[in-house]
Amino acid sequence: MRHWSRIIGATAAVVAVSLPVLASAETLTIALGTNVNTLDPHMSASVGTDLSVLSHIYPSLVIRGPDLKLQPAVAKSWKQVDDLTWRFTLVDNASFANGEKVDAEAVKWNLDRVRDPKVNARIKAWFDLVKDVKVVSPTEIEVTTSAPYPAFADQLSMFFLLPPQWAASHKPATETLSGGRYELAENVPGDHITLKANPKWWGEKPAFDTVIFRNIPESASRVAALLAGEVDLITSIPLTEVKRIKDSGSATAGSVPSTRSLFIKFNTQKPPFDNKVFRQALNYAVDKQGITEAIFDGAADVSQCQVLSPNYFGFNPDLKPYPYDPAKAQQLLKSSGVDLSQPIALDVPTGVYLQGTEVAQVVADQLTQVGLNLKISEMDFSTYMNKYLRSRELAPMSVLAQAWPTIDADGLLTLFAPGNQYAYWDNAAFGKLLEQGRSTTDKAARQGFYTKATALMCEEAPALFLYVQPATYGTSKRVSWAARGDDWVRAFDLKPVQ
Amino acid sequence: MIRYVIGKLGEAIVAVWGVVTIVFFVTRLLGDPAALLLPVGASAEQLDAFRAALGLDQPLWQQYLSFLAQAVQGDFGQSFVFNRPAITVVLERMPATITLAVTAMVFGVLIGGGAGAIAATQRGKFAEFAVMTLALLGQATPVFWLGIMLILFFAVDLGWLPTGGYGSLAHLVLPAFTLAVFVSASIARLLRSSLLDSMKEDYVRTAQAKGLPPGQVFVWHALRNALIPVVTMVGILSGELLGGSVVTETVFAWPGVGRLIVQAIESKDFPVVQAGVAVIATVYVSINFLVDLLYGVLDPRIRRKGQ
Amino acid sequence: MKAFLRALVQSRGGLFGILILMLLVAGALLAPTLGLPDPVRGDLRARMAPPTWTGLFAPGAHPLGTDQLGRDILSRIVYGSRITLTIGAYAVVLGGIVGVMLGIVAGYCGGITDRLLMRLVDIQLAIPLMLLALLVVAALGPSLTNLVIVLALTSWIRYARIIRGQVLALREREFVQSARTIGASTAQIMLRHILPNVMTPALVVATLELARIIIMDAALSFLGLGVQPPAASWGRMLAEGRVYISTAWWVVTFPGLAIMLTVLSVNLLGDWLRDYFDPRLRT
Repeated sequence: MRHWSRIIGATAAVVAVSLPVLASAETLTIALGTNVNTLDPHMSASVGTDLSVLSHIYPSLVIRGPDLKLQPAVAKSWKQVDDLTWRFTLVDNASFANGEKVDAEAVKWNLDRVRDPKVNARIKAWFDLVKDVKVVSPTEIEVTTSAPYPAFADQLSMFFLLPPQWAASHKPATETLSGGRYELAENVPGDHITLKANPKWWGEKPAFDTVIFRNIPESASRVAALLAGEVDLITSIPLTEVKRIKDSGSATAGSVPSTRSLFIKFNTQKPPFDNKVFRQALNYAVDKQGITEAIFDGAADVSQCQVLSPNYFGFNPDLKPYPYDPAKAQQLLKSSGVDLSQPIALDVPTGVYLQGTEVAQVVADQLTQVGLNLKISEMDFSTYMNKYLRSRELAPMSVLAQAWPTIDADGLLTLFAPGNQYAYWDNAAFGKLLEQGRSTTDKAARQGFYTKATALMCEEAPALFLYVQPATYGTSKRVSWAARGDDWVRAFDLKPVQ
Repeated sequence: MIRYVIGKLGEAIVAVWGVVTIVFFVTRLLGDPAALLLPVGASAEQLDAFRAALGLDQPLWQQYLSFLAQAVQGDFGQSFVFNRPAITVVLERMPATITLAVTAMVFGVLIGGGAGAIAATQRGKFAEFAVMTLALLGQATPVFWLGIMLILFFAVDLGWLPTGGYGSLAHLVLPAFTLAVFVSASIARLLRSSLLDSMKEDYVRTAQAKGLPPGQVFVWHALRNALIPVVTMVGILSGELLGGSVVTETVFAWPGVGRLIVQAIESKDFPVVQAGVAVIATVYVSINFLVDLLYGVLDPRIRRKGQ
Repeated sequence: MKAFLRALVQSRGGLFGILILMLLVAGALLAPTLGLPDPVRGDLRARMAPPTWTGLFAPGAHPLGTDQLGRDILSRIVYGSRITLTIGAYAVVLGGIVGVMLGIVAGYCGGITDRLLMRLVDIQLAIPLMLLALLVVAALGPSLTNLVIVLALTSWIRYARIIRGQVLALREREFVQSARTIGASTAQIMLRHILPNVMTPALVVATLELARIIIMDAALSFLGLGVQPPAASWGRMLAEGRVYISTAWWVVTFPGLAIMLTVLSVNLLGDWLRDYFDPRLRT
């Protein structure tokens, strides 16, 4: 039932957005929880802040719409010529504010820049499979990859184009030259960034003349700013605040499922988590539904025994969560032969996941009730990541939420592939299925492989599957937002309310 | 005199060098920026290549030497996160921090000083009780609680002031008040107790006995001596505020250096952490130097001995 | 002793302070026998239940409400006091002893000792607390002892700077000079003549530090140093309730009041002790 109302709501939002709107000289203010750090679109992989702001200034080949589907931008169409070749046809009227054309040469220059080891681009990893970029004509470009890269077009929605000639004599980290809907008007580091509509923008005129991104780190202060009428859009607020905003009547709020699933990762390479029955037992011992209802007011969806949320390509609709069954859990724990008295560490990163530390305490409590001896240790995210990737000492259990920006199983599931440094799980059959999924670009065939892979992962339980994180937001009554769960915060997804 | 100044300058340089060196090794011991800056899914080779590009694959002593060689020229390297010189990133946040710190200190000292003096001279009266109760509230109220309550009342309910941000005088009021409450509470308590002490001193009693006007006795004899611990406290608090008050900056979205440094520690942006602590260490050394000079003004006997 | 107690009972502030403090300590010591609800296991369905005073002694009553996980706040405050008061007392005393000692040494000896100690203070002040905490967790591991060490480390400098300033003035005073002329040793002068005269500022700093330390404990426990969930300390309760400040005021307000009450009682007691032991006031 909840699903239906959400789908209807989302559809209504999309319809509302697609209605023609009179252009008005309005200012839109958006609050961001974290700081915008750099203006160089190749020097940040942070979609929710840097890339969102830069998506107003720089053009991209494709963009991802509020419905999470790819839409044309500089590329008016694209197709896969074969498993290893992509061809993009570009619009012919796109240009930067200095007159530089956004043409095939410019695209090639950007793809070369991001892969240049000397540039040390932060997003280089996204393009490591790109082997060759060939300019066919000013409006035609062909990219060859060294292996099939089915999500390449999706990846390009996070890749913004700099003006090549301008970049030769300017510093993109601090300077900008617009080729998008807006241009930079003011940047007060740590406080706000003001954008003005780009008069030379080659597309449809945006609805807001001025867009201000304000940095408000404290969630209570973001809510206050919304209620005081200072900002029009806020995100990442606790569910209790969603309710308060709705009750206040002076603004609206809500949530949509995000693309990020929260789970408890097991270090299956060390006892006792090398024991499959033990891992399954833990999945039975936690009341996922109860957690989503109590802590998220029902706004979080229980994970369907996989790390993919329904938005992902490759999502397996046939899987069902492990039921909450403490008796069965205890029985499995017994048959697993694991000594339950041993202390087991549960690492919890603080300050990164919406209400994540609360969830960790509830899970720990429920696992304690079936007889485990759990010890929570909280730590800051960088210490956590250091254990995860650098010193490679992932705790037996750790709270983790992962998403993949292309919203494709190839990517998110790869983080569990054997040999992958993120995995801490070594299952050859799973790895084989992922390889097969990547070896073709045929959608039905790929879906088949991922259906098998997710089913295997559910059965093997390398994690305690919990829920899909809700993406919470609040908007002023002046605007409507096509709420989305994939971190993008863009002025052109908002429309003034008449 | 010149020798004295050079000596002090030498000490200052040693202290700043000490801080920066400690922080250099501590940050490198604690973590790895690669996993935090690269997108999730980056392979081990990509992480290694990234570390190499930042020079983090070099032996630690070698990194340290090249860091020192740059640092003596005021260059703390490029920020890993901001992709521009770390010292610029830090210094551009300083005006906001200094504005807030100075405003909060001025009001905190005036209010706290006045309150402390009233409390000490009105011993046992209602005024003392009122002042000390307020001071207690001020020192035991968590800053974030006070901050959010002020926002809810003055910005949301009344709509008189902005909820946060930086730019105008109106933006400054609430954060400065929040900090001033804490500062004035500390100063009021310290001044009251040291005034009570000094008013019992023989020389104050002598001055009173000589029939000097009470005001003159208070200011010239009791207050001057009582100010020594207060001046020290003002020094410590100023240093702390100039180093950035993280909680206040966070609650009021104030773009100060405290939040910046915490963010840099969290994201393992070594150059910014180093530049930040170097700046803060310089601030502390200078303030403590000023405080030492003030001692001499307040009590001439200290000056005689001190030099 | 009898005179001391009589004086204590006759002073309003001192008596009030000691009574509150005794109550807090008694609560901490007797927590398990008070019949309070489980402080670490809550009822998720009774999440953020507001305070109710009806059926106060009935099972399931929450006189101070419940927190974000449905745990009884009164029970958490009482159990939390065990950790908070212990940490506070140790950190304040440890930081105080070290700080007062070094402050006296720096102020009295002057010269190179003073300069060295004061630059050490500058260095310590300039190192961000977060870095220090992360270092201690990484190097020594998380434990309450290490938490106290970090808190004391951030604390001694305040005593040291303030005491030193005081001593700089004191050492030129007649009574110190004359003690020196009659041949008192440096240690004797420091202990007998200087120390009693710096106790007043030291006590004030100690009460200021107590409040700071209790609140700061939370920031450090999120970095993995100190109290880990589901155990409670007052600082943690404050910090965990932070996001609910505008939707469930009781979650942060009651631990906040507990902190305030503690600081108040220590202040009152401190003020009275100072007056009581001040030789100039005793006639």
